[in-house]
Amino acid sequence: MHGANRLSGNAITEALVTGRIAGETAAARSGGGRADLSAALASEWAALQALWHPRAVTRDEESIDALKAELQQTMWNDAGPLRTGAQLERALAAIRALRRRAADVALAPVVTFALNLQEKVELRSLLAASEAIVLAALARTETRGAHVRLDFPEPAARAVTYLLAREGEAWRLAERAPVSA
Amino acid sequence: MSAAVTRLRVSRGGAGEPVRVEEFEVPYADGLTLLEALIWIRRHRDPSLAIRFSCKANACKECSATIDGKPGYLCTRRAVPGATTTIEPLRKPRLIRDLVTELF
Repeated sequence: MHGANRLSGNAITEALVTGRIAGETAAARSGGGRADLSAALASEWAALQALWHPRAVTRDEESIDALKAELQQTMWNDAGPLRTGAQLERALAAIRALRRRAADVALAPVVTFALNLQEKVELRSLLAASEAIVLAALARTETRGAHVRLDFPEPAARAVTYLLAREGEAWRLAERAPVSA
Repeated sequence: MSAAVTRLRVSRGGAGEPVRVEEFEVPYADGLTLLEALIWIRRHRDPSLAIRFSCKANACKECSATIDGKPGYLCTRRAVPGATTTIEPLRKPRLIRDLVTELF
């Protein structure tokens, strides 16, 4: 949606537009009734426990915040506003390696102000978002608007929209219809 | 000559527990803020240190703490090479853990 550089002022608009679409879609799929969420909550809680505590430890095996800093450095170096295919390929490999490394980090149980647990959930989302950004930027072999590829400095003859769908931990990139003029 | 460091004496512990003071040595670089020094500790020494912050830029006030006995923002106060800075939670709001209190 934003290419490499979310232009100023777009964030609020995006939150309002996608928030409304998400809310309306969820309401339409709910069937109007009050669903019993207890089973969904129990399964989500079990999934979080597995994410946080693959093993019982008394001290975090690695600092999740340090892994987050590594991801930020990768995105800064190789997925910034001006990028090339070689940089993006390097970023993709680094993101996937970091995801495997982060997944296995066991965290200490914390009851109050559990920053480490929150950070691991955030890091999972940051890795997913980073991978989506890089995959989309790799697929778009052109320069258009705020999306700049130094190895493809001109816009392609036709504008194409891409759609990324999440399947488990993997993204699937599909080309959608060309954007009509 | 060894690289410059700054030292932080940090209050640890939860509500109702006796306060433990832990001292950390942090590599100093020009412009290093106390908040950045605490983030360095979480990344390289002890990820269990509880701190609260958001903007890192003197706007949100979430990183308020007691610094050398006086209230201030960790994100705007610079660390001093070779010196020791004492960092405690704010005194009035209820303590949650380490440097984190309720928000006023």
